[in-house]
Amino acid sequence: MQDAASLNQARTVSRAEQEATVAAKGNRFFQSWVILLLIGLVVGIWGAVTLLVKGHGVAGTNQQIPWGVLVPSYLFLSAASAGCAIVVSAGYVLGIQRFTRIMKRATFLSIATFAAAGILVVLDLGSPQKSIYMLLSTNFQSPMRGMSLLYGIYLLLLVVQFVVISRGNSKNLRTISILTGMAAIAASSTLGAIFGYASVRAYYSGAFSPIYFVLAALIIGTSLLLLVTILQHKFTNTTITSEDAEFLSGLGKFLGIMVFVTVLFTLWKNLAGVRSSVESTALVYQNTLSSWWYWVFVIVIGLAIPLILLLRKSRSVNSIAFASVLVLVGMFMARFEFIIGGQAAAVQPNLQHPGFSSNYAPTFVEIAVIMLAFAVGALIYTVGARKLKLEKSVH
Amino acid sequence: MTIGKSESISRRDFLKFGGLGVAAAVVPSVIGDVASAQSPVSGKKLIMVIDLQRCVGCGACVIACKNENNVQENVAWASRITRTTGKFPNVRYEYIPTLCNHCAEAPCVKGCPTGAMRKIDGGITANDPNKCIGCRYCIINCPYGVIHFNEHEPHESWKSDKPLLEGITASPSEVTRKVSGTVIPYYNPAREMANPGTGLRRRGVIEKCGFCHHRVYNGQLPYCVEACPANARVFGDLNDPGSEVSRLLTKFRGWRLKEDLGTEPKIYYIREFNPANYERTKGSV
Repeated sequence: MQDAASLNQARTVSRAEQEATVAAKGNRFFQSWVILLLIGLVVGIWGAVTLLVKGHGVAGTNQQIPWGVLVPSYLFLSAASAGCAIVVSAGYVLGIQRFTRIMKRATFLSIATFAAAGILVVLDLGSPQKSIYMLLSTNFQSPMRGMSLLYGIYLLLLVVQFVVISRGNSKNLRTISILTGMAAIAASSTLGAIFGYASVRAYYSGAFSPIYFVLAALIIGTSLLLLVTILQHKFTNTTITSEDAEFLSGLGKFLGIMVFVTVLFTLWKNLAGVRSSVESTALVYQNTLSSWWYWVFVIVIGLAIPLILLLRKSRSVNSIAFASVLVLVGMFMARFEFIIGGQAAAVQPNLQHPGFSSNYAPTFVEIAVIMLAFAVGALIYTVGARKLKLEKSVH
Repeated sequence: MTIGKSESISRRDFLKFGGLGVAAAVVPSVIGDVASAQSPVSGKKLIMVIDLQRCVGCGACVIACKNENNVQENVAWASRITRTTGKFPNVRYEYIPTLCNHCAEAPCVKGCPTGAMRKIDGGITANDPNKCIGCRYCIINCPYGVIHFNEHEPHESWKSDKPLLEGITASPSEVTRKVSGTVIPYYNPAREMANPGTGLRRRGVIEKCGFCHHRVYNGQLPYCVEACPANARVFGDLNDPGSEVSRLLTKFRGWRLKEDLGTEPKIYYIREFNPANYERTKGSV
């Protein structure tokens, strides 16, 4: 009898030890995560201050390529925010039950990525201290002016949505959710129109650009949402129920379909572009298609491998997380290629613009600024995840 | 409504005072633009005709513009397209002077999020560095590559302490100090008077040719037109059928850059850079 009692005691002790080890591991991981973010923050603040004090001369931009890596990074983060909001809002409004459990987390994720995007767009301006003139301007035929208004409305609705969810006031949630989703679609398509309206730059795809940007938002938002949801389970060591796994699998399949549509877009964009009779356009496409990083990062890593992983008969949670990471990397590079590509061929070769020049490489200052944006976004999300009970369901 | 009492402000009062506040912020900027409507070039359609036969490709227009507007190193608001076609001895060389086209349907104006880029009297496309946030969207929109972003601090070399020849020449900073220190070389007070804040170039904004509107509004020609030694640049009002530019465009067929884009540019080119004489033959089969 004494043996049985001591055996039970031993079992209880060992289970407690196990849980303590897991908790300690979680704590250690969390500490490393915070330290990583703080390093990013410090380096990023240095980068931001350098850029503000010394000007864009310290960036890799030049007279022919005025928009450098900060712009695609901003596009990436704002797409993540809008896409996450569209997917969750659509899922909730369509009555897919599982979305009620991730809605609070997803809304906060949208807010965090939006803050990160905001940092980038402000720091990329030559004179951000005069931004008030953008708010006072009535030139709404400019999609850039329109975008700032629509993103402002979108942010307001996001915050309202988060407050409504936190208060458990689900009566208004449906209406607000519809409005937020619509604002996200309006804002991200207007962002695309910024490029589409520049008709002299055929690389920016004209009328397709707004639609492509909504598609990109859906992809980036869904990938980020999947990644964060899965990682949350891993790091809090909660079990992924078969219900959860089914939901994630379904969302993964949706992502796979979006990736397939992007493959079609990419294929036809390149085919039509490379044979364009406009020499400057054809040159840029040829240049893109002959650069190894385009094939490696955008096509193989960003599209081909995720397509195979996501559209199989069954998807494991781990493979979905992995595919999401690949898609995020590929989409970031695709944004980068899109922005630089449209500027690589001079619209009119003259003293300032020699002709075809794809000589743009980001400087460390620009990379530091991107680190700042990601660090701030991640920090906001991390603090929110700890303090704001993001796992709370909506009714 | 009583101010100071603990009751909160009513919605109607908030909207009333909020609206007044926004109007107070917006109205001055609107009046600013309206005030420029009473200029001597009101109602004119100012264009420039460039005679490519008279032009010798000397580049005086490029340098003169930099002189008049204290344009900084590595930037040229007036520029040129040069093209060599063919193989010796059948070669053709073209020199086409370019500048901002002041398009009637300017894509840069349409895209500017702050309204810093706008059309003013005479059809001039003017940029306002006081409102420009340096987003560079106008550069993306411009089909002619004539807008420049001031990435670096302009005229930074004048702050340098290093003389060209040690012990022989003065350093740039010494020279700047000797001219009372606050005056950057080539500061043009005429620009400042026409549009405050534009006497000096500044970092973080875009700048471009303004058709020298500080001269034009005073009845003078743009400086590049004055400086051309061959009288290849002719300036005037296309709305006036008696003006020199109208007469030239009737006599010669004028063409403009990228007309198919629908931007309606105002820089017309007539005649040809190359000599008009060639051997008189009827060709062969």
